[in-house]
Amino acid sequence: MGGEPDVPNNLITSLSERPDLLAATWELFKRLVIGGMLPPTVKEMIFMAIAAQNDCRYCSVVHTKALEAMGVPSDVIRSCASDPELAQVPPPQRAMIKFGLKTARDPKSVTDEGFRTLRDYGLSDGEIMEVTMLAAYGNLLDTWADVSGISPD
Amino acid sequence: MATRFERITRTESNPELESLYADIMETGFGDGVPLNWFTSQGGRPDILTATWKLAKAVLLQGQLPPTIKHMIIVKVATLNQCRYCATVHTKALEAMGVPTEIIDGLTTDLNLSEVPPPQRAILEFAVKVAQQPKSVTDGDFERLHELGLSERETMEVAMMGAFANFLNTWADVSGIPID
Repeated sequence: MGGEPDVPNNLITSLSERPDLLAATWELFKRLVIGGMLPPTVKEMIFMAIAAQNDCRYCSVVHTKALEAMGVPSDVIRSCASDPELAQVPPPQRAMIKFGLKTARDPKSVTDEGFRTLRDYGLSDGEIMEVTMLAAYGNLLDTWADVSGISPD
Repeated sequence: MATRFERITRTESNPELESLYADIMETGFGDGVPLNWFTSQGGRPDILTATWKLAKAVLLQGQLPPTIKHMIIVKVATLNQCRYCATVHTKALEAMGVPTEIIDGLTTDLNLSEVPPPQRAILEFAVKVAQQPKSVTDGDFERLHELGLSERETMEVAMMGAFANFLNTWADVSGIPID
């Protein structure tokens, strides 16, 4: 999860009193973010957009750094963070981010049409599941960062 | 609503899924086949491995009594209007012998007046975490510490609030029917 070399970031260390909870949240990170089927850049973009939606400063900083390290252009990063239309993001990624934002903000508002849009872009059900879980997990990370009150690394 | 994620119920050809399902059912989350919340993730055993590990660590293991944890989920699910999760965890509370007036109070009484004060404070903290994490104050932490909760237990309450939202999100987006 980024941070200084060889030092886990504050989100990790804030859970160090409860290795059981840390291991469980880390497992999701491993399976969804390090593993998984979608390209790493779109996963970070989804996290970035959700962190901005939740106004979570800690997570916004972490994901901005991650996207920069991946070589994503700064106008694309800014678009994920502050443009509801995601104008600088290519259409397939834009559709995934929008689906993720809806999932994170109001899961009941996700429609069959939303599923169809992602399928039309060639996403399999397993990949759509990954988008959904990334969004649910993004909320969980943002919530933890806000409640624990950690400051940017 | 169209079927969004196929619920995988047959595992003969998939040893990884087979052993995951066996572990899930051993803890009572299904009879013959796991609850729909899990089988709807059967198409991605890698993801289910992680969500199940989280459910086990946060909900089934940990330090707080199981009743308060299921109460948190019923309360948060009610506020999120997640009928699936409210139903599953109401059934769990009934099976644990929690009195009906307390269970009903979770869904109908905003003041939680039927719930004893320590549990009420825990529920109120978890609800704040789930609904508006930025609104949680140092005073909210102190209140739980004064009731005797350790820092580790308070962490578990916070994680339960976040986890309840996580459960609701999957149930709502996948559109699973009540088991």
